[in-house]
Amino acid sequence: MIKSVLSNEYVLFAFRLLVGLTFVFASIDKIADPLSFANAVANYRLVAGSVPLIVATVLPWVELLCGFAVLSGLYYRGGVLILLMLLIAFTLAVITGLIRGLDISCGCFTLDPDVGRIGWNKVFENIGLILAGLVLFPSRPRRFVLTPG
Amino acid sequence: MIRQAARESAFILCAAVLLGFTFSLFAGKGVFAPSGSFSAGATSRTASPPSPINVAEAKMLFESNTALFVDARHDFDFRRGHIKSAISLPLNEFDARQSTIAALPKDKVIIVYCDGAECNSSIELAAKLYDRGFSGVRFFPGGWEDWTSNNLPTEASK
Repeated sequence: MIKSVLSNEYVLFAFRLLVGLTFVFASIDKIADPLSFANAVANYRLVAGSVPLIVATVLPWVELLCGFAVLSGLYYRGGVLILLMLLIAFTLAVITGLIRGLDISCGCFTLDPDVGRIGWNKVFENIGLILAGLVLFPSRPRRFVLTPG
Repeated sequence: MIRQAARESAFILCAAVLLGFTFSLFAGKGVFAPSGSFSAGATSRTASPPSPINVAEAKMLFESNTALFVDARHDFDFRRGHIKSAISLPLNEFDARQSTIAALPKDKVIIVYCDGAECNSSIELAAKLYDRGFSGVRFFPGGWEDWTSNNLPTEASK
């Protein structure tokens, strides 16, 4: 029953929209302002030196391309795989930040520090997206794609 | 399936690196931004002024009424309780609170604090105030936690 629902083309398309649009929107602010994103990365205190700036230069484009891959069906599995790995890494970063008591902005969807402070709600959001990604990864969408995956 | 995913992932990553660096080069943002515009995190600025202050020194300056305490936490936390006579200047409202900043005394010691040892906002706010010419600004890493655990004077906003 659950398997047949999760393999339904329309259900899969809904998951693709959720995951794909999430990452496309998440990338826009970061591409526009890499320095603010680099500061958000540095605030996690997991990487030092120029690493946050290199991450801030490349990561938003990874998110954008993977988002388009999931939405369009082009390089679909590669896109889903990267997004799954990113989501796991982001979730671990947020959890370690929370455990260390960091009072920092997430740097997830917006770089506005007033909006996106890290919290357990962010962890649960990410877990939801990881579950959606796990449903998408073995699938092979045939509808609403630019070319069959 | 895994091999196909790995191949496609590699292609996407290469394309992202290429796009990221190209965009950075032409837009002057990211790694190719003018030098000095990224300081490897505001927290790494602790070695330069402003300097940290411990609870004993903060207490002494408070009792001699020679320092102004600035609370970098969110308004909500400030209203629930803050160091007596402190003023609220949340880090995330720095740009919107120009009148508050303009009213700060430049000839007095300004002590910025947030929750405690694990928060960044006092350091970041102190650095911003220092950049604005408040040379007497210092930050109090122990913050609200240290102050209250030493039973020092506090008040809540009405």
